[in-house]
Amino acid sequence: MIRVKKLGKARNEYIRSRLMELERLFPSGTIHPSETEGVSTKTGQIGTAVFTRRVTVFVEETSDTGPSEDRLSALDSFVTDFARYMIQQTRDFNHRISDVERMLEDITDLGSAMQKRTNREEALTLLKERLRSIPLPNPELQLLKTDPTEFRLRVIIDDTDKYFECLKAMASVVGELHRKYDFEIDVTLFQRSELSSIKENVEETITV
Amino acid sequence: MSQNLSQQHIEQSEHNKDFLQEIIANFPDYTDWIITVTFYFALHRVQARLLKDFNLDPDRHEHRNPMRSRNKLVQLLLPNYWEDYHTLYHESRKARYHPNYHKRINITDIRDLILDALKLFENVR
Repeated sequence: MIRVKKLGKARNEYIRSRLMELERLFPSGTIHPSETEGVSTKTGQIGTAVFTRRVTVFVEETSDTGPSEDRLSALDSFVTDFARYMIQQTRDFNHRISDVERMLEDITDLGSAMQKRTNREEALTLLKERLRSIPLPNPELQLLKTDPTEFRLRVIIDDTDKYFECLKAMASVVGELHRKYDFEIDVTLFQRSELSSIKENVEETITV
Repeated sequence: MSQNLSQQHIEQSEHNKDFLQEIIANFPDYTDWIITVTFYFALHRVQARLLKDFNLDPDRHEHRNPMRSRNKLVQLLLPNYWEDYHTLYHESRKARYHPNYHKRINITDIRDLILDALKLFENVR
């Protein structure tokens, strides 16, 4: 004789509780009733039979379970917003690339400008040109031995009672050098009678 | 802070002016020190103005870093004072570093320069 554990009511209760759990997880789930009712057993043999019952849960796509209009609309908005966001991000990225390119150009220009601002040859050319426009009595330039960051010269003129006028005129030349160049600038005016008080450290003498 | 420091430079300038008046009155042959003190009277005035108006405090007469070069900053930012300031700077350097300035330059040579400088830089504050 087979004692068959007749699960019956307990089993159905168990199945129902699991279905409730499923319904909780899938609120719109629709379960075919026939899969959940009735259990059949065999008799005539002694032993223990364990019946397993596979419960297949069908979740049909119905108007309750399918994507709702609201959900579709929300999804559509999301995709549209996301596309807009990506487009904006790409535009912003391209703008940033353009900004970086412009900055690099500016840095290159700045580098060139800075090189120009420490161009000694150019500064000397400018100085000679400007000194020629001042009525200096017999001027001569002495370039002094200096560091690369310095621009040191003497302007030697004949003794004159217009020394301070010459000096004031030179102020505008030195001012222009300050505006255009980044050196330690030392352009000193001497009358020839003062030369004995000057230390000799001349690199080159140039006529103006 | 910079306003306080600016005021200190004005006070130093006044102190220098007082001394200048003493040496002009009592030691007129010391043209090397007269021109030098006049320069430092002017220097403290421009330093005060650079601090007050531009928050700049250059520590050298000349430097390759423009922010530290007082001469460059006077030329760029206080151009109306540049010509006189440069003249004072130039002459005070010669007076300090090249011997016998006082023998070559007498008080009448620099009288106008000193008077003009006192009038001009008095207004810088």
